[in-house]
Amino acid sequence: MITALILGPILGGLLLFALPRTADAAARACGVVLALAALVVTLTGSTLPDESIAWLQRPFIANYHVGLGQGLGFWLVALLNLCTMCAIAVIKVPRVRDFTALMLLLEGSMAGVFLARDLLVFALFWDLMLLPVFLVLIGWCGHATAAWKYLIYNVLGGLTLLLATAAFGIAAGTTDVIGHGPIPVLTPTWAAWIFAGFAFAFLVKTPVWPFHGWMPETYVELPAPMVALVSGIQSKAGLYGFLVIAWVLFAEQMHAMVPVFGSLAVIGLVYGGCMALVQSDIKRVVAYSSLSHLGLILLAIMSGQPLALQGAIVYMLAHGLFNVALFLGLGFVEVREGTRVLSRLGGLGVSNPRLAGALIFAALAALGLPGLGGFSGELLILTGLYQAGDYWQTIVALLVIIVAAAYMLRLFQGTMQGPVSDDLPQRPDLSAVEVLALIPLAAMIVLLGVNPSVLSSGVEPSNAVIHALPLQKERA
Amino acid sequence: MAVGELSNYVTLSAVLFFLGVAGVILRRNPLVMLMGVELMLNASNLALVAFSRAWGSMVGHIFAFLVITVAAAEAAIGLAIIVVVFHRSARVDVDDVTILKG
Amino acid sequence: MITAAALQHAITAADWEALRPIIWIAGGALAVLLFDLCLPRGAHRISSVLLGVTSLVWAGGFLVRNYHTPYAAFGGAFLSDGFSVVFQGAIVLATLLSLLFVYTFEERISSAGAVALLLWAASGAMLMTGAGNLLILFLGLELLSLALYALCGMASRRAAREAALKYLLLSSMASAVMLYGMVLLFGVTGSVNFSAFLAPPPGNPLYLVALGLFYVGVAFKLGLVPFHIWMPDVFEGAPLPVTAFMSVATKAGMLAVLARIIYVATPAGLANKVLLPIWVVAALSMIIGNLAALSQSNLKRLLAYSGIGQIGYIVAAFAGATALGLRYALFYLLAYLFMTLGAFAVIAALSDQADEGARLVSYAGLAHRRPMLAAAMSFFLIGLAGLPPTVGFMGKLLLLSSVLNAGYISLAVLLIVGTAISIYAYAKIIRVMYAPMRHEVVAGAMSATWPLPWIAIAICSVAVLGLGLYPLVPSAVLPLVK
Repeated sequence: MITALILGPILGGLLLFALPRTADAAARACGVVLALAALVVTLTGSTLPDESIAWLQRPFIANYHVGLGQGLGFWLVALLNLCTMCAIAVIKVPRVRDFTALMLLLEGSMAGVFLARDLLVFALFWDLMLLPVFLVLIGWCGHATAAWKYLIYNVLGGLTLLLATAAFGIAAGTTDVIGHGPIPVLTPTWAAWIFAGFAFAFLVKTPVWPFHGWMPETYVELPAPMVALVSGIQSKAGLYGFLVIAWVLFAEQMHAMVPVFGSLAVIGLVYGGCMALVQSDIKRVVAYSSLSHLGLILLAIMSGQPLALQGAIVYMLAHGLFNVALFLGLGFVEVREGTRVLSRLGGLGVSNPRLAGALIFAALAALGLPGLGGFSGELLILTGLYQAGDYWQTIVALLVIIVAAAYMLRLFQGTMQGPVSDDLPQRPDLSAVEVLALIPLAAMIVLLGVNPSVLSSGVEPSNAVIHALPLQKERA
Repeated sequence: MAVGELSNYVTLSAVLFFLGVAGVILRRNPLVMLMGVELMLNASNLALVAFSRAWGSMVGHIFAFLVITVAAAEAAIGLAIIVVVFHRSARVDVDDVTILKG
Repeated sequence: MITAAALQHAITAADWEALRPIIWIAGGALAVLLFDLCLPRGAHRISSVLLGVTSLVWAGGFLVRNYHTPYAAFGGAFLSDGFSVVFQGAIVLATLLSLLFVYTFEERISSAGAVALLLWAASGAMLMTGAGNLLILFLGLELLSLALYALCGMASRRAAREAALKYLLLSSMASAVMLYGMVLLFGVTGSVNFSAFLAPPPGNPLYLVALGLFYVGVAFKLGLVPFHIWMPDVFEGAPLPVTAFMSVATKAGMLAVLARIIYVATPAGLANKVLLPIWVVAALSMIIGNLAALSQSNLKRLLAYSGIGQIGYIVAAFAGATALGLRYALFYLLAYLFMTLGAFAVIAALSDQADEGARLVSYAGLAHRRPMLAAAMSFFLIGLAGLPPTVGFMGKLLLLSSVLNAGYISLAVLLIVGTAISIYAYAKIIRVMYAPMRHEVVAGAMSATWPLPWIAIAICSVAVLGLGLYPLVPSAVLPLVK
């Protein structure tokens, strides 16, 4: 059943090509149904046992081992399926059938990343993840620069991950180690280099300053539904890697690198916030804000403090939700107005109240309004950081949150309020389908906001948090 | 065969070999280049026979027969190709063979 | 050493069994030529190909039998062990798939002659893989090379004839250099058997010179940097089936020779001194081969350069002369076989009498005109790039593991760097195929081409996906020491 979460979307995506080229609505419907089915399977499958098939014996033992469990992976896969469902419902690009198929392929491969319990399977899906995005970048976007940047950065990360996985397998004898089993002991030099490989891959994928060069153009060029998935969930793959792989298998090296990665996170946090304030392209604003938020999450992860880690998990999910909502909303704007430039947009709120409502909701969630998911995540993170003794990081984070309010409101004002631009056409407001697509996201954001412990209520905390707890004692 | 004699033969074959290499590298007429290759092969023949005699085994002689045969076949094919390439050319010069850039 | 005692070694049926695949293929070539004399016009092409394919499949059957019965035939002259059988199998597969493109030859070229020459070239390469002494090695090498010289020129395009001339001159010089090295080896050790090289007389500089010359010849034939300059030109000029054959079968044969020397004939004490240049050359090939592929606009040249890089990966796997490395190198050879021949099959599907379908511009918008073909090409390119779920990914992982296991960390890093560079070259082709067209393009009806390349594409795709998910790594492949 768990494999169905991976193979289902992938095979479904491939089978979608059997539909006629112009069957837009049918393709969207199939996509939504598949994503919904995956979501249902995920939500009901938290008690399913892991699936493991023997795969390689030499040069090291590698098994096709996937598991859902009830921890971070579970929530991320649920988030993935939910967001895919919402995103597919509102696809409005040429060649809908092909685009939907690629979205499903992306969904399946990302599910593979989060479900993998073996490092080789993890590396396989990590590399597979970049193919659908690359294909969309070359097939649906005018300039190829974004595609090349995306490819080069992420391929380097993926290949480094492959090298590190191979080295891990040779050094430890097996790669079947995610989330279970004894932690293999490696010689210090091997461990350091293998960790460096993993860390590089995670840093590039998130992305973290200074490896973020691919991000702005990619986020801008990708059509809204795909960029929602990439920014909402693919970015979490790197953070998931830090939590579940780096902290567990390479705790010593992580401790050693805390100052370095922490500083990178802070730089990204500040840089993203400041850049978001001055962008003129609406998607770029959200892209840089994403960089900023991810920096905050990385900072929390690096601190190793249990409260901060809880906050990181909550914020990861919240960020996924409101980022998807934001990009979908901006996608609506772009499709209707044909432009992304802030100075040319304006006054949409007058004629499109529903669109304005959706966008303000997402913007408020992004800037951390209490009652919405972003706030609870940020609160937990800041409290955790303060308790861990990272005072100046807490202050910087607080300041950046204020800046976040500024750029989010600037975004909203620039698109929805102000004088109506004369030279842009007035298009119809959000259709029923589009509203329906946003409702589940909004509901989850509110749920996370009022009751963040739903993530751990009645359910064991994620493996990462379990393993990370003893580490905090060493740190202090 | 005394060592001194053997080294004479080997030195001669080395000289022939390098003459052949020089022929292939320095000359521009493909026929002469082919001759250079033949010279290299025959240098090997000479060395083979000399070594074979020195070690007292038959292998070298048999190897030499093989090489002679192969060299003949190579010459045949090589000449055919040269004819085909320079069929209508006024002069036979490898510098004219420029469609495929190196 | 052919002494009186060796001559008394009775030649039994087992000796012929070991050689049977080769004899079958060479005999098949003769049969193709003879049948061509008595066939009516019009049936020539298809019948030659059919005969060729039949003899190859039959020989393949014998190979499977030979895999389980290692034997040193003819007093150690031909070694039929798991090692050589797997290499021979690769050559048979490559020839089989190349035969499927024979229809791309021009009309006036005698396809029977081409098929026969291909089969003879294959038998020469197979002879090389099983060679137990230098004589047989030279025989196989020259059989392969001579057939290829003729094959390269079998087109009326001027480029093809020039390719043949270039190949002839450079390759025969390389053969002569290699031969001289072999002669000096004989002179130093007094024997032509590979096993005799394990104990060279100490302190003899001629031994190193001989090995150096020998390796130069090997590197040339393999196309390793810096002896690779001939390869792109010859690959571009030669007809498509010949290029396909050369890019896999010649390299497979030569790799077998290299592997045998490294694993069986290198004395332990000298290993580092003698083998270091090989790793350096492999590293250079991995980087420079892929770098040069970046700027190519002809697919055959691009595949030639990228092939140089791929062979660099395989040679790097021999590093440390570990058993694991040999097994994974063989696996990657098979992977490379299917991926490269699949790509050539797509080029063949796009070729017609006027143009060989290798120019990059003819691929523009292919995804909109012929989506299945574009998907197949992308799949093979993704495999060559080493991305999942293909055998390229699995193969690279195994190669990396064996290189790391042997302790050559820098080679592993260079492998990654080379792969990263190559991905850009392959992605460029994918981009050309999938980039949105200015105007709406209607998917063209499939032009009436032979179904043969599609058979090849199907076989290769299944292999690339299947082996990628479940790697069948050949096990009993350490070479026999006689």
